[in-house]
Amino acid sequence: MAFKSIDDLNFRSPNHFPNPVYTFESNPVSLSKIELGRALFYDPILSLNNSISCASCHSPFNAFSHTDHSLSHGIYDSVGTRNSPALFNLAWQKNFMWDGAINHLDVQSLSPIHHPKEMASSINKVVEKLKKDRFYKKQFYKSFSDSTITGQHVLQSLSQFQLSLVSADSKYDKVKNKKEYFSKKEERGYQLFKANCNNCHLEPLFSTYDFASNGIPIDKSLQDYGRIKVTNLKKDSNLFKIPSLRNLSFSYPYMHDGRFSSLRQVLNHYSDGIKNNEQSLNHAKSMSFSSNEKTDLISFLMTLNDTSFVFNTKHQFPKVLLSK
Amino acid sequence: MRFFFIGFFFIFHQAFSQDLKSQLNFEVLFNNKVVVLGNTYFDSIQNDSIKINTLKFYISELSLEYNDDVKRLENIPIRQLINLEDPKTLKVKNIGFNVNDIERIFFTLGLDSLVNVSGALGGDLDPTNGMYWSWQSGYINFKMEGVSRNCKNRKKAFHFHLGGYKSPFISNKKVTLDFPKKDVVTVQLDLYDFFNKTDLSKDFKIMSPSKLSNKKSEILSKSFSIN
Repeated sequence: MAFKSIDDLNFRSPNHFPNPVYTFESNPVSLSKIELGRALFYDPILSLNNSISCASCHSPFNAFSHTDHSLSHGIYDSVGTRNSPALFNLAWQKNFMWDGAINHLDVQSLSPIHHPKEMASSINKVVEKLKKDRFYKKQFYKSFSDSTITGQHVLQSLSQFQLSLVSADSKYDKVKNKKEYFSKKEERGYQLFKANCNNCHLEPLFSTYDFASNGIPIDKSLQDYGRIKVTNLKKDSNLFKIPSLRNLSFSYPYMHDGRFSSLRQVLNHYSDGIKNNEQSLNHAKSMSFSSNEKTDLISFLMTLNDTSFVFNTKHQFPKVLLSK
Repeated sequence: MRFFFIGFFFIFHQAFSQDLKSQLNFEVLFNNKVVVLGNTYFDSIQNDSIKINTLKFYISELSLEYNDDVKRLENIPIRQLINLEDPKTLKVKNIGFNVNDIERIFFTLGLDSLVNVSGALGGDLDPTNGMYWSWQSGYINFKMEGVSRNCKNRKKAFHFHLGGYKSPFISNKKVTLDFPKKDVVTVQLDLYDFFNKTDLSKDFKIMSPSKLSNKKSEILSKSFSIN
């Protein structure tokens, strides 16, 4: 992978990516903070009863999402209302959560820590628990030159680990860096992608990270109208954050409520499912794909799988937690 | 020996300078009586008895208008949490001023929008202070919780978490007060008008940015005086 340097020496942006939007000057990246954030990410100490960690719903082998369940589950087997999103390339994102309720990566972790169906704890309880933990006292001192653990430092450490989750080494990236070539089928799929999908799933991040309706009808059992909850604006009803298309093989099911379990189902929706859905008329357009074209498109989408990211041992459970 | 005298002069000068300056304090009242958390206060307009258990608010963007030869403004970059539970927070930190030349004081009840989009911050702005919403980004500018006889909520509890930094629900409010020529200056917030205008049998809960949150913040911003 080729990188360009940005202001923060410990964070390097891939050459073919735009500049990150994260404000590194307020939380300069250091290797010790990344490691501290990694320990916190995998430690269930963040939840009320020490049963749920961030990784419970954001597993590294699923590109830091949660497969097998349409809706993610948290403490006491509580089931939430949304499919946990995959976590990567977060330094390029301005808003977080499916409805964009969170405006900065540093404060994102507050939401699952406090949510009664996720970790059911509070940042105060987390800080109090960490203050009693010798391992963390030492790690916070090492990272912040201060053994007094604060909410700010907990949140910034979690950010630092998540910032390190950069996925930019898929076959697509290698093609862009002239190290590999698409097959004919992949190339046909790429052309279809550029003609039909790239407006919302803008390469190379494969999302504008804006909000849109893709024409899926409201699940009446969930009554989740997305972005309108944040803005109170009618025009934002049924809008959700556009997810990246990277690592799709690892991060099924798809959509904010996990209603589709395969890419073929997703493409069938765009091809045939939008027409009769009045709610989506102002947003998504129906796309006409033949069966062969769907196969080509899926071939291209498979080139966005980044196995060196998904199986990167630096992102996995830190063994240091076993001995703490 | 020479260094000893220089050192002594420096310490003496600093102490003397401090003496020339005054401190700014905050005080919360209910119908002119100083509010003590857990005490009961009577609201004759709503015919209600009210007990406040939590009261915290931010002040920011403080500035002093001087009129020594020409009018000038001194901006004091503070973002301070006033928490009735902790008396030392009632004194505005790290400022001192010469009272004689000050004509007016300006401050914001609440925090500016920049701080609301700046990620995890520390000190008075640390989310452990209980003044940051977790389900949606943004600070609570003013938090008041308690119980009242008329309140129809569970356990007769009222919760006012006033905040919002984005249009149309920007709830931080500017306050302007004439400055008295006194050494001890106290900015007072009297909650009486707020409760006079709030029927707690109907309005007992604000937990998100809204029109009502703006309206209540406006009432509070007009309830400050200086003594």
